[in-house]
Amino acid sequence: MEAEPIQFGGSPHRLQGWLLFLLEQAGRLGLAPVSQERLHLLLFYCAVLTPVHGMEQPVPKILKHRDRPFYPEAQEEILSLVVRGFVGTTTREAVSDLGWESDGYWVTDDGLSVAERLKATSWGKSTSRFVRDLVMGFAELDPDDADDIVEQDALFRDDRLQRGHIRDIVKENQAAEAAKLVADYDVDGLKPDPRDSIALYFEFLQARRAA
Amino acid sequence: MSSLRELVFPRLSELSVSGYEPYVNDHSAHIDRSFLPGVNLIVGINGVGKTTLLNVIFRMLVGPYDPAKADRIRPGRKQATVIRSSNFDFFRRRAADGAQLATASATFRFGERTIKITRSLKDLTLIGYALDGHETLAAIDPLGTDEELMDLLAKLMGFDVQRAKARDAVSYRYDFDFVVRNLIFFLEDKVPLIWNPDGQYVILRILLVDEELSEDISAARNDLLRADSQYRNRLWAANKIRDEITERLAALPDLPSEVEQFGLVVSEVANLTKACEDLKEQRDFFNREMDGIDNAILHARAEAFDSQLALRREEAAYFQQAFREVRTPGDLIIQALQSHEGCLVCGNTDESAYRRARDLMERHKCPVCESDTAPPEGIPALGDAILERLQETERKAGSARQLLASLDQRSREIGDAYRSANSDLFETTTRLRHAQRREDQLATQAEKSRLVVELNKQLEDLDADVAGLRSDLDAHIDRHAKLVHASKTFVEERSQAIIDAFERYASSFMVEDCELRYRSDRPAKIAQSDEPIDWPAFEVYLASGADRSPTERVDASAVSESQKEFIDLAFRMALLRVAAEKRPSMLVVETPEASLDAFFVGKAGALLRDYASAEPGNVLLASSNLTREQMIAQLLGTTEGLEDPERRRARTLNLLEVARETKAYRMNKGFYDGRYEEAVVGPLEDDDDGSGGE
Repeated sequence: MEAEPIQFGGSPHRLQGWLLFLLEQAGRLGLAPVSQERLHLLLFYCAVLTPVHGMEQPVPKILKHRDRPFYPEAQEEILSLVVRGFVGTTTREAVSDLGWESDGYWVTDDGLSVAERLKATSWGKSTSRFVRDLVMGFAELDPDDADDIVEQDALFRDDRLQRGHIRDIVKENQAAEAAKLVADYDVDGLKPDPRDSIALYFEFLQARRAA
Repeated sequence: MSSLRELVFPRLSELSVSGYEPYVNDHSAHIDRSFLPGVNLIVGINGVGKTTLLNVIFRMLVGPYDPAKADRIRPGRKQATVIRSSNFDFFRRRAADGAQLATASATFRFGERTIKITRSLKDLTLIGYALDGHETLAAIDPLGTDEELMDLLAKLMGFDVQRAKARDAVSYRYDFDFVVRNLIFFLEDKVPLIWNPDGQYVILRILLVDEELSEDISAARNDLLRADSQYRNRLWAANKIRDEITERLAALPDLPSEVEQFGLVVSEVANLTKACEDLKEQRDFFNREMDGIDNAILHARAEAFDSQLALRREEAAYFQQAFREVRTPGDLIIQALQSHEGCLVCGNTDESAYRRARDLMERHKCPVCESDTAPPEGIPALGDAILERLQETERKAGSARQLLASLDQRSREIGDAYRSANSDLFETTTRLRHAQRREDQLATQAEKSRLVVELNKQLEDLDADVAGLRSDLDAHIDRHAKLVHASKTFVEERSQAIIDAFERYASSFMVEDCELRYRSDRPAKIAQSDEPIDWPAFEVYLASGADRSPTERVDASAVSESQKEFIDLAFRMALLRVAAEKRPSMLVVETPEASLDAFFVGKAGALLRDYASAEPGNVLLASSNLTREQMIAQLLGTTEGLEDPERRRARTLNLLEVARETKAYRMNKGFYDGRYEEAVVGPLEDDDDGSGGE
């Protein structure tokens, strides 16, 4: 499926879809509960790698928050999912509290039912497949430093991106360029398939970190 | 031995001149004379008209026709052709009245036949002729009749005119003229044949060589001379042009490569111009295509945008429905109150709030605003319908995107093609501009170079032209040489007879041993651009000093005037004798004594008389001055008294009697009359030479 001609990026209902698919897949691979930090990190990888696979980015802009990516609008949506019982959380507080955080999130049975329904749509089908590949790649990483390899990412390595700064990755996405190089790197005349290319990218980041 | 051509020589038998002022005096207004076989003399004194009268006789035969001037000076030198003088004035100039009414008429015998020719002396226009008494008047067409007469005379001389004409051979006219002019008439302005190799060969050819071969030689010679002249003229012109061209070439640069380069650049410019046009057309085509595609893309984008918006709307509705179907907000409120989290809005944890909310929910009322929430019965599950609608919208949006994508792809391709054509066009235009600049630069040089090429071409053409003429000339030279070679046999066969006859004549008046020798290899060329070939020729050898055997070949300048005259006369007589065989002929000699030493006069007289009597019917016509040299008496044989005096008188035409009286005659009438009588009748008893006051 060709990319949509117009990037809406971060449209609220799709962002909820992304979050449900990520948590669903993390649950399947034994990564649940997923810390708030890792959830945003996975969302970040989704954002930087989707252009390589011809897909819509879940969020068009990156906020560097405490040396990690953080997406306030995604956090809003996760709260909404938690409040409505589609996502479970280790810390449950009142809606009236502002800006609360949680140690970890997981998808509830109701959330899984919703995710199944969303996969009936075309967007849901392709997005869930991409999320599955991405989370599988991430799950392959050494759990000890899986969260830290983001430091090797081209966007985060970039000194111009300071804490609190926002980078519009629709306009500038060095990470996607690096990922594209990895995806196009052919061995014996064969290029990696989408899943392999994602896994290779993570390996590339890990190898950089190891080096 | 091949049979000799039987040429018949004309012999004068009668002559009349009337109304011609030089021959009109108180006693006589015309000349009217018969000529006898044997010796005939025209006697007189200086200025009385002897030469003129011999010329009248000569011109009766040849008319106003002459060979080319160069051929008259040196017979046999030029083309064998005669030209009619349009205004012949030789006789007119000698008459005080312009010879307006003067006529002359001469009768000649050609063997058994006689022809009488009458001409005006004003300009030699033919008045008429009578062949064996049958008259033909020339009044209606004097020119045409004259031409006829000339053919007739040649025919009478023995030329096969009819056959010659059939072969397009016209040399008989020249040959007839040549025989009359150079063999029969031995006039004062004669050209000696023995000393003139060209003329000698011509007379040998006419007299001795087979007629057809003779005609061929003559024609070949004419062709050769014409070709030679053409060749030389062209060569001269070519050389002149060549000099001009060479001069021009010297001033021009030698740039053959420039021409070549220019040619290449010109074709490069042409090719590039064509390429530019093609590329421009291509670019314009792609440009139009791009415009079309851009419009299509705009429409497709709008459509894709619309369908995308619809999709988002449907998708959002479906998502909302999906969440709702799994868990309604009411469930959340109940769950929060039940788990003592309290009211999701205000945090109230009171038990009554839970009950109230559950009661409302059970009655399908909203736990917050208490409005009715029960779905209408019989309405199918909303989710499926929305999903179906969403999927339809997805398909539409998908195909809209696909269309847009393919248009984008096409646009990119056309864009690439456009840019490629544009960049090619730019590159080609640049190259074209460079080529045009070079073309301009080379054009000037090339113009000069083209001129060089053109001039060189002209030179080549000239060379080819000249070479063509040269090869034509060479062919003529070759043919002529072969024909001349073939003619040698004929001359050689008669050479001994000629040598013998010559010796007989020469010995009678030469003290020295004089010998004629024949050779077949006298080298000479006839034109200017040929090589000498071998000719049959007779040469004279004289004994020198004490050595009595003749060893030294001599030319005209090596002998005295007397010797020269007589050697040539002897040669002619020898030729006449051999050519005429036993047929009668005529010899016309002008004042033979003129260049003779007194010692030779007697011998010469005897020799000429010998000729006159050699064949019955031979006519010797000589002019002579009434001097004391005894030539007249010698010729008439007066001393010997072989004929009676009246007969001798009949053999003389004393011009003093018929001509306009000259001052000298008036003053010395007695003397001259005495001389005449003495010469014709014999020595007078009383020689009165003192009274003449010579």
